[in-house]
Amino acid sequence: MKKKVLSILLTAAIALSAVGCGGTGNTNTESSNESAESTETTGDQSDAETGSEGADHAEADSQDAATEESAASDGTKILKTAASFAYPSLDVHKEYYGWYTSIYGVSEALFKMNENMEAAPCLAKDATVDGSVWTITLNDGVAFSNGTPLTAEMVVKNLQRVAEVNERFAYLADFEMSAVDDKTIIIDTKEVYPTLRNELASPELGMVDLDATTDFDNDPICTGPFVISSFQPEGDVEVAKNENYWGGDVKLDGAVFYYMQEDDPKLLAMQSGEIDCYNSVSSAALAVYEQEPENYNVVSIPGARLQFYILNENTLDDAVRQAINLTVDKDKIAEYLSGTVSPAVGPFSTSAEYGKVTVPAVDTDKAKEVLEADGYTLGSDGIYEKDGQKLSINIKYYAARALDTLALLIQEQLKAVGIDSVLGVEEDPDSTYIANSDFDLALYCMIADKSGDPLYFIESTLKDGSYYDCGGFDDAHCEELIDQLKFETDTTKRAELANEIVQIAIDDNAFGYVGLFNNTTVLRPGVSGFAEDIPFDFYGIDAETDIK
Amino acid sequence: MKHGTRREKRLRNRIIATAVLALLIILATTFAGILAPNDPYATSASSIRMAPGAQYPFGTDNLGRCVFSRVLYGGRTTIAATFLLVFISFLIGTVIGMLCGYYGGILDTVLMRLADIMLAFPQMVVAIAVAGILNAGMTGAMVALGITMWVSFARLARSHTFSIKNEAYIQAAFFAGKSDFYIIMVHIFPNLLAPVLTNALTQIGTTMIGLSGLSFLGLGVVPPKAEWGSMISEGRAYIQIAPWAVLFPALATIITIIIFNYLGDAVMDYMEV
Repeated sequence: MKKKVLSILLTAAIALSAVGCGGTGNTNTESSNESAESTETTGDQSDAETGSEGADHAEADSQDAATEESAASDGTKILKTAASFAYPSLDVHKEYYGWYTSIYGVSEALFKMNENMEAAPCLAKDATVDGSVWTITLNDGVAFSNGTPLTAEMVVKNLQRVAEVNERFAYLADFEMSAVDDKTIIIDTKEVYPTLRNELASPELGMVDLDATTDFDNDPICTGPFVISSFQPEGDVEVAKNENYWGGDVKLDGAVFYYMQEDDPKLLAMQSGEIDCYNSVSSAALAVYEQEPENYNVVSIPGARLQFYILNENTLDDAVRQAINLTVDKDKIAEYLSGTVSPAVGPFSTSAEYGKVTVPAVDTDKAKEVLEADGYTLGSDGIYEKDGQKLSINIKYYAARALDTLALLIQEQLKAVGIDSVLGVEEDPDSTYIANSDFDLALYCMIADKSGDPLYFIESTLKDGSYYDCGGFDDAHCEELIDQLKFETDTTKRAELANEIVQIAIDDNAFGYVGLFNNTTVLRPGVSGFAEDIPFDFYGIDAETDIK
Repeated sequence: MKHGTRREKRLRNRIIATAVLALLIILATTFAGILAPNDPYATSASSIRMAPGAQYPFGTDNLGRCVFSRVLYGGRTTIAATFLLVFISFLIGTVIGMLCGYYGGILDTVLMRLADIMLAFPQMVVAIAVAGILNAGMTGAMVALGITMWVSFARLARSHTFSIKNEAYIQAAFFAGKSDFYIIMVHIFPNLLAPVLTNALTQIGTTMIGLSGLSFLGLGVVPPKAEWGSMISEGRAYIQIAPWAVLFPALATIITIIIFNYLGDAVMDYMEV
């Protein structure tokens, strides 16, 4: 009997001390890490570490060693970072693998999106269009990592291969492509195709030496500033400097991409000095980094990843949809997601020409009026009802990209005006509620602006029958405008069209655009050039990436 | 009751003391509505992750909700679900056990082999799989745990029925022309109630861990409902900046489980004396 009591108490004590140690251990690690950092970077804080316990000393020592190792004690600069995804293959053209070969600095496309969301020259110098015929000129001296120059003919072959192996780019097969000389490619798109230049910046259209590459999955020969030195399918990836880089000197000697899916390990790895930088910082981690601005350089810029919800027009009548859109307070939601999200107006950044739309301001009184005008009456429990039926909507979401927080907040905001809701979480939205339209309000997150042009998002969410048009939005005038947008070449006109189309969807209360994720990157002081100022997810290290 | 030995007395005091603690917990969570200082579901952007203080005794979580109120309300969810689940398993298990023990034969063989199969799988693994498939919030989680839980009750009830069945008074009742139902309800059930109830008490702790565990994994309660396991899970990401959001629900879980386990053990010891 005594033994039993004792053992229970012991277990409790162990459990409690484990919890306690966890907490204090962390803070101590943080502070010792801090001291290691500051001695390294400033060199004038030698007495920072005094009061911690023995165990923490050992920990701190090993960290010191770790930090020194990464900080070029032997003259080599290896950048260590974390990647949220890891694919089974490095085949640039297939699936989304090209996004990662681009992040690894291995593959490059003809153009590269810059911080102003424009397709800037990269492998190609320029692209000019005359009617439906595009003339693309390659940059001088462009060559693969094996020294072979990139020819116009090779570019055509590459584009043809992408059309074959990637269904998202199958449309390239309809174009007539030919190499005029070594440096010039002519692409006849048959119909006017205004966005080709931006499309050519897609990371999936990275150039691969098709003749010399024998193993596309593990060792593609590309033009980027880095070459693969070790590739573990769905695991860690190591790259080394490309000694023959056509664009000049590469500052880093190499880089390691650790596969870390979750936010917590990345935060801990950053704190312990195992990695030097990473992007898509979560709001929890951001709060930790912001407490120590001297140790972490956080760069946050407006991004293109959009959190939005689709309202099901088949199950919700106009008044309810309008009331929902009048109620959901984006600014409030952004406040909770402290710094990782900026409130959205439309699907695109308001700084873009095609992001100029207007949404009615949040007005809960008006929301109530709208409901009451539609015949709803407020029940005794504070929830509206009509014909004895409680107004309760079915909110579907998946627990990533902070959509779980969004779901909770939207539920609460709706409840405050008298709309009840039930939350339903799915692991894979694409195979569940997006596919079968089983929702009243569906939360989703996707990159709205993939290439500095509005067509992609508009076509995939607003066009009748498109994949994300699962809420039943259908407008004849809108269809017409989308068709016009497809062939409009003038950028100003395109922007006007896009604004008009999105405005129709907004006025119809078919969607709610909640927030645009900021691209948040955290870097150790001295680390720079991790694509932290480019609002796209598919760039990482390049020739300019450096550790000081 | 026989005249108590010293040991018996000590054990009885122990049971009373723990039972009082257990009762306190149950009362505190039952009257959460009165005791909670704040609305457990009200979010507040101005008080995100506030440290414990006068207004929020246990601080606030990531959405500015009062952790203390949530712990109280969460306890209600966890404890109510646990009691209900244990009671249902107790009912089903005991009935099956008594029938098997009393009639034996093919019924006994089939049901007991089924029980053996259930026992062959680790309880938590089965629960995770079933809860994942059912995807129906707390009910799903309870079904998932209940699938394996009835087995221990059934086996216990069966073995006790076996031994009771051969007692002379059962034979007497049988020859007096009493129906099987009457014999089971009047003569067998009261005699095996004590050991089976003790088992039920000891099951409370494990069930609570099971339910909280499933909620922690996102297979239990549907948000925003407060539950200790899901609170720990939600607060986990912020453990470095707001440790209280994890610490207090974790402490509540640990303390509650220790008290109920201890109560179960004490009662079991008392029965053995």
